[in-house]
Amino acid sequence: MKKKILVVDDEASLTRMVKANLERTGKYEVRTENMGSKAIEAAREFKPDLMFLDVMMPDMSGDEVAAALRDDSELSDMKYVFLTAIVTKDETETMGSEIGGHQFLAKPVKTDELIAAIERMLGD
Amino acid sequence: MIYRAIAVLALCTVVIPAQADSSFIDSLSEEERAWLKGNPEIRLAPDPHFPPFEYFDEQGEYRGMAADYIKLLESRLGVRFKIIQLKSWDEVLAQAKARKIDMFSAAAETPQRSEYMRFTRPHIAAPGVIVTAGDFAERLTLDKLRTMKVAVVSGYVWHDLIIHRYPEIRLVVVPDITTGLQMTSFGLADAMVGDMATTSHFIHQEGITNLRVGTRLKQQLELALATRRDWPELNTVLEKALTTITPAEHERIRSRWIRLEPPSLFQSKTFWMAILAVAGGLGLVILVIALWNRTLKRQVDRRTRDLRAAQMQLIQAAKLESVGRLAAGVAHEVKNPLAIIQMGIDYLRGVVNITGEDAQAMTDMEFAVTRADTVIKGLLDFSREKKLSKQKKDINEVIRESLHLVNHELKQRNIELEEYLEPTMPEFEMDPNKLQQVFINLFTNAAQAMGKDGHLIVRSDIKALDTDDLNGDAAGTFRQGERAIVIQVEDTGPGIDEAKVAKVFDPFFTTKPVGQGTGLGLSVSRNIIELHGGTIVLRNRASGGASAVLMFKIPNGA
Repeated sequence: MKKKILVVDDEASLTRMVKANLERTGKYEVRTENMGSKAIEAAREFKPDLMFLDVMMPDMSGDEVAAALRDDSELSDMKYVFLTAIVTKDETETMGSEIGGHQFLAKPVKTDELIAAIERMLGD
Repeated sequence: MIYRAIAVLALCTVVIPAQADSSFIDSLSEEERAWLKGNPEIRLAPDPHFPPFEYFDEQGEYRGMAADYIKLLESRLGVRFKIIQLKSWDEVLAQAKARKIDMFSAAAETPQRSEYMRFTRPHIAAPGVIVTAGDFAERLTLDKLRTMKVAVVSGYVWHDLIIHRYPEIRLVVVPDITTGLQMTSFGLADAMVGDMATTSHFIHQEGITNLRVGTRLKQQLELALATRRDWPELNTVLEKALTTITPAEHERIRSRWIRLEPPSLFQSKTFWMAILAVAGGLGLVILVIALWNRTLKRQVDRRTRDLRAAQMQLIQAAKLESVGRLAAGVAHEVKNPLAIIQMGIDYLRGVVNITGEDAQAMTDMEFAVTRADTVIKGLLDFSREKKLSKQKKDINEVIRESLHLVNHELKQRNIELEEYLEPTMPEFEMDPNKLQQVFINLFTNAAQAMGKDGHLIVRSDIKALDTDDLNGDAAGTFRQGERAIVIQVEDTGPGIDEAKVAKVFDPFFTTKPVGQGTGLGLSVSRNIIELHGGTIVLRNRASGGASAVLMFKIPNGA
């Protein structure tokens, strides 16, 4: 069974290509959203195993999206991988473990790194 | 009993009036005793104005050294001299010539006076002195006064002495001592010659402050009793009486009237001691003030330096804050497009089978993304508020760990490492990771500057800083003579272009080929070192190559 991945970023071209690159592996079913508020609805409906969440979006931050979904019992197993432009790569490596099992990835990120993150979070 | 005791006491304290000293009278000859009896009234005219030897006070009382001697003689002889007050010494002399007076009590013997008076041995003596206004560098003598105007009192022995022995001296003959002293004081005469006792007395009495009782002359004023020439008996009686005056009696009279024992203030040991003491005291005060001033100046300098440092930090902080905000914005706006490009590259690789030059183009694009990302990362590093995570550590350890990390690169480049680390380095509070970043940066810079083959020389030392060490930032942070931890990273590469030395710490300044450096390494390094209270200075070595000198404060108590 394919892992369900929700990719949330305000850059539509980015989410489109992330979706294409991930789905090409044949391992993942990917859905994308470009707004924080839409992402919350999509998560409840799609119930992804993992969500790539941009930290800085115009309508709400990735933190706020995660906070809104934290108490949803149906989504308690969902993993988060935050994508950020500000945090540098060095820091994402040390910070990841501190945030309740979630992970940070610094943009620009390669497809291989996205896949590695998914595998690390969800197990192979 | 009590009454009798008081009576005895009263007897003891009764003042016995001048009465002949019977033992002295006994020592006189028959004729002398007879002469004294036959001449109960002896008229004595003192110099009315010759203190402290003799003078009349405001009550018309006869006073002075000679007066004391006369009282003493009266008690020896059991006679009363009749004191006659005349107006001046000249009048005294005239009256003596005219036999209207019989005796002088203090007069210098001169050939003229000896014609009508008979002198005893001198009983009063005072050295002659030269009185001048101000100070003469050389010791004056009468010989040296030859070309000068010299004041003397008319008729005094000094007048005779100068006329006969020093005729070249231009004399200013004055009626009395006061006039002579005033003329000397006002510069109308170059000097005055007189005896020490009277000149000192009048200088003191008149309050003349600019006169100096200078050289003491060989010649001294000798005063004797003199009696009319036709009374030889009186002369011998007085001569005999003078011999009975004991040294103690002489001294008592002398010490009562001679105010200034030393001939000159400037020849006096006590005076010089006092001057020395005062000068010493003043010197001490000046020294204390000077030291105090120096301390104050140092404090002011230190405070100024602290203020300047604080100001620089504020400016730096403000600069960093704005750069930081800018950097964050730039990072967000640039990293998102970079992410899209990166994803695009990955996407294209997936949909098209790219080979040969096309594949190289893809790789180049991917490398460009990484480069741009590295610049952004450096900018964020540079601007981000540094929070040091400090711990006490030996900086040598950090140096060794950093060297270990670049060891591979050094080997690849065939660069030989020379390590001279001070074995007893005090630990200080530092962020080892940040300092490691600095050292790796410096070592890598050095290695890249040398390219292939060369020497990387790393020194650590504790030394007292001299002026050579206080360049650039170090001048504002460290003082000359201060002991500091000094780390030097030297290479044998081409060195730094002198024109660019000032710019090496500017963000984005780089000498490396495009794509090989962000130009942020040294500015980030400097920030880190400054956060440790240290400084970094770059310069060229005399023997070629560049040298980075890092200095850190030695912690208190280390």
